[in-house]
Amino acid sequence: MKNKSTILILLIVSIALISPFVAADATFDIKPAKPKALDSIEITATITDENIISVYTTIQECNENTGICYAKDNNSMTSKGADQYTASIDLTHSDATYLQYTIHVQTNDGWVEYQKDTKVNYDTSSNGGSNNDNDTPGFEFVVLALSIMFISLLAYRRTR
Amino acid sequence: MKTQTLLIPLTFILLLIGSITFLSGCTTTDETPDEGDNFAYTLLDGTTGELKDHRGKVVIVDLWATWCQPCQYQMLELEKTYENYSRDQLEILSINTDFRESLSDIQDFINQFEEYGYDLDWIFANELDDLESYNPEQSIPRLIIFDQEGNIFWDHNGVIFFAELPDGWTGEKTLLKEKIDELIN
Repeated sequence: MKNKSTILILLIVSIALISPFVAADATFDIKPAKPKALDSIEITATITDENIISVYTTIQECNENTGICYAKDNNSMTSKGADQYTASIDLTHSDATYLQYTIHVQTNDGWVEYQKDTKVNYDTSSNGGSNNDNDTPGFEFVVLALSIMFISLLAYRRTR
Repeated sequence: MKTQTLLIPLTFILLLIGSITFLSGCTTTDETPDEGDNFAYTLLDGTTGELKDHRGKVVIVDLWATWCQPCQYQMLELEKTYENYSRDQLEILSINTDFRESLSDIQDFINQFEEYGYDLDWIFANELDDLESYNPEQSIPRLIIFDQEGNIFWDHNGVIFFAELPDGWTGEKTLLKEKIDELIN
């Protein structure tokens, strides 16, 4: 009985730890939802916390067809009231096919990360479509599978 | 008698010439300048290393960051590369380019690969001197192959495969094995 209880507790704790860490009162939005390369985007974070000192977002643009990423940019997010923080960002890489972003919040208790390396795919339809052949997932599928695996593990490690 | 009188100074002169010739050769060898590239980096244990520590080997410098998904895939190809050459032939330096990431972040990254059965046994480091000159476009993964004398032989931005291209791959077709074998063979 004790073993079953222990296992159940471990299972519940594990599920909680593996789940991405997001504060209960935080929502995030990016417009457009599927930007095009060189677009201007707006990222909005709604975070209910009285102790927020500053908020910024880091963006990295990548090309999944050639397997390349470009250096992170830091972008301050401006308070718009009602617990909302926004950043307007010009995308700068014409060959990018997705971006990853993270929201960093400084509070009186220290730094908190939200949406860590969240991926946003670009709309590549105006560029003649992706070079991917839908019948052969190939490299992109492998990258996606690995990414899910590593991001889950990273989230698990960093919330311990 | 006359012959014997000349023999001694003649022998001395020959010995002197021979010594000068021999020592000149030795001196020339010892003073051969190292004209290869050099830079310093910080290892995971906090000590420092330099590129010139690996003269005589082909060195692959891999610029990366933990958040970079293509860099994660590149690690798998580097693992294949590392297994296919001896330590006398080749070394890999994976140098993290994101100053926000600590040495423990890098160690965690390596440990996660190990949990999935991938041994990233080569040199990991951060804080590369003069990073901008080696990565002017600030893109990763970036591979730079240095020859045995420390000169840049080849470089590329983006994923490079060791010996085989996956189906559907539309990126760089050059294989790491081809480049390394050019130097080693």
